[in-house]
Amino acid sequence: MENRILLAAIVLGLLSASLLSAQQGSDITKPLLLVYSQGQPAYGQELADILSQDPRIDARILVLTDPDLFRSMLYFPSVKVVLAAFNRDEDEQLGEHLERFFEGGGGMVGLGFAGWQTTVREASETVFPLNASYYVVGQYNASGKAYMHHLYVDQAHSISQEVGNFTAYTHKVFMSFNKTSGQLLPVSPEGEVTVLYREPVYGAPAVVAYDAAGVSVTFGCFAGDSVERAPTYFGRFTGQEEFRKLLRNSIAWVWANERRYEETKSSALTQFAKDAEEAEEIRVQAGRSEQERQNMRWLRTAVTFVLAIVGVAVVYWKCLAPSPKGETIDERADGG
Amino acid sequence: MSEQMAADELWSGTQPDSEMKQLVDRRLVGIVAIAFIVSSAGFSVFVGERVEEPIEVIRNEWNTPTDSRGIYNLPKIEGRYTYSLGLVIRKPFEKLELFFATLKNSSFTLAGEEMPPSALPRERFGAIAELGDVASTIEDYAAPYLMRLEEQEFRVRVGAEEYGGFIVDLTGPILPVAPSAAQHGLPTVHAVLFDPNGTVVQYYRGFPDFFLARNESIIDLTIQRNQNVTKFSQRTTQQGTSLLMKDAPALGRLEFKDLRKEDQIFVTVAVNPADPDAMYQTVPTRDALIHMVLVFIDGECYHVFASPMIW
Repeated sequence: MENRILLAAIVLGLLSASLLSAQQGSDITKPLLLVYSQGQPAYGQELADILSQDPRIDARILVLTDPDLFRSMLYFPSVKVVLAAFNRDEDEQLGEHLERFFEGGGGMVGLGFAGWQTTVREASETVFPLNASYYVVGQYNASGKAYMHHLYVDQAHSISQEVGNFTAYTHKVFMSFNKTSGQLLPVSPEGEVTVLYREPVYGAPAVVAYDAAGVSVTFGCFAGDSVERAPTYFGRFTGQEEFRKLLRNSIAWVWANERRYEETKSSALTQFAKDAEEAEEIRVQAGRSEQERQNMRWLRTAVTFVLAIVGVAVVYWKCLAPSPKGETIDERADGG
Repeated sequence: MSEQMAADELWSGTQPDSEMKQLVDRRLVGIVAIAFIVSSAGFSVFVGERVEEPIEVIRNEWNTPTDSRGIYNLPKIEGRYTYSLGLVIRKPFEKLELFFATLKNSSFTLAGEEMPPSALPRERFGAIAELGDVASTIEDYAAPYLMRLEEQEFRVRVGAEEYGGFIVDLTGPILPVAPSAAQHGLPTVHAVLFDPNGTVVQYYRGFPDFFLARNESIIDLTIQRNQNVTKFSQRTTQQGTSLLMKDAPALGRLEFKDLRKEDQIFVTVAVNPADPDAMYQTVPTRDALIHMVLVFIDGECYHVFASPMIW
């Protein structure tokens, strides 16, 4: 019992000391901001560069384009906020994992096809509440060689406060729309939805903030690719100050309001400390057992040597020792 | 002649020649006896007590056909194919852990920078795009958070060629807080193979478990320590001697404690490699796999068994 308490104290001491030294040092144990850019590493890096300049987001940023790695990393306890840019209509089986992250209180920002039904399945309602299956292409701007949407502010929010109405150089805006009736379909998620921006053609929500189990901001636009001549090239909008501000404000808002990080980190640290304590206990026990075996070996060696010496002495005394007169057997054999 | 009289005559100097001969024989017997005692003691101390390896591997094989390069061939048809691992403990220790994992070839996702010939396997792994970033990120958190992160070198033989390998198991840092429903199927184990020049030639990623899709592909799993046998299968038997496969140790991780000399450990995994998706495929597909077992003794990696296979 005392040993266990001592071990627990050592492990906790080590944990506190290492965490303290890590916090005082570089950014290695800062909360993690996970950036996923579906198939477009340059776009992901551009998003990371925009966010890394924001003093409100004290994060270590990891950019991924591989869906398997992204899926795994969603469960890493140090991930605080996720920025996911879905750039095409392709189901990579990520929806249920996004839902789990969100249901655990996680903070997420989605771009492009994030609210698109066939890309993230149920998460297009439960995490990024656009439930989109239709999109509208913007007006073509010949001088800018880009498509554009005039987005106007709907409900006031800290995210859009400094930005106001603006023209976004994005190709599509995704929405929940019934082509037959020509009307927008209602989206009724469980939490509180705030429509930050709408597009003017159908009045569909283009940017929404969502607060339920977790918090999210969904942009029904800004799907980007890396082909510079394409109308969907990410560089057309990432250079816009409005986009940069909106993105930073969105991340800052979910960063401040997510509810997953502290809880997950705390339970993970408890689990890791428990595992480490058990491992340390095994190591100590193994060391002790090895020491006991070593001691036994020495004892056995000593006993063997003593017995061997006694045996040799007896044999010598019986067979080889000189006679009481001081003659050796050799001398006696020679007749001396 | 009594023993006392013989001894008296021996030292009296009056014994005849035949007795002198007996005396010399006795001297010879003495020398031989001393040599025997010294050599026995020396053998006992220097050789008899020295057991080099804590475990002896008596079986590590798949009961499947192999191709000309020695790669196990699992046909995607109904059948029963088994993997058996048998270990005998040669030296007592506290804890034996066996981590099973099955990895699929994912080399098409490889990208990264060239590394100098002097680079270490870990450095080569770290140079792989994104995968290296993920591993180094987790590595940075691992030490201060006391996470268990496994990184090991291993070797695998394919025909006449022997490849070096490097495995990174991120299961420890990633899965402890993941909900159990999410755990199965998360690709947290990554391995690369190097050619003799040290260049990364293949990349595998997979899941920590006894085999892929345990609830579909594993017919039964037997875990045995000496006479204690635990069997898991897809259905319980009428005699109740078998537990359900879904209740088998999570993530293909086995733990045995307080190992004694001559303890025997056997693990047998029987799989049915029939592909449930085959009927939907217009072109039959085959996957290159590596089935791996990481053996830990008292928390330290002792050996990595790697079986290359085609499924």
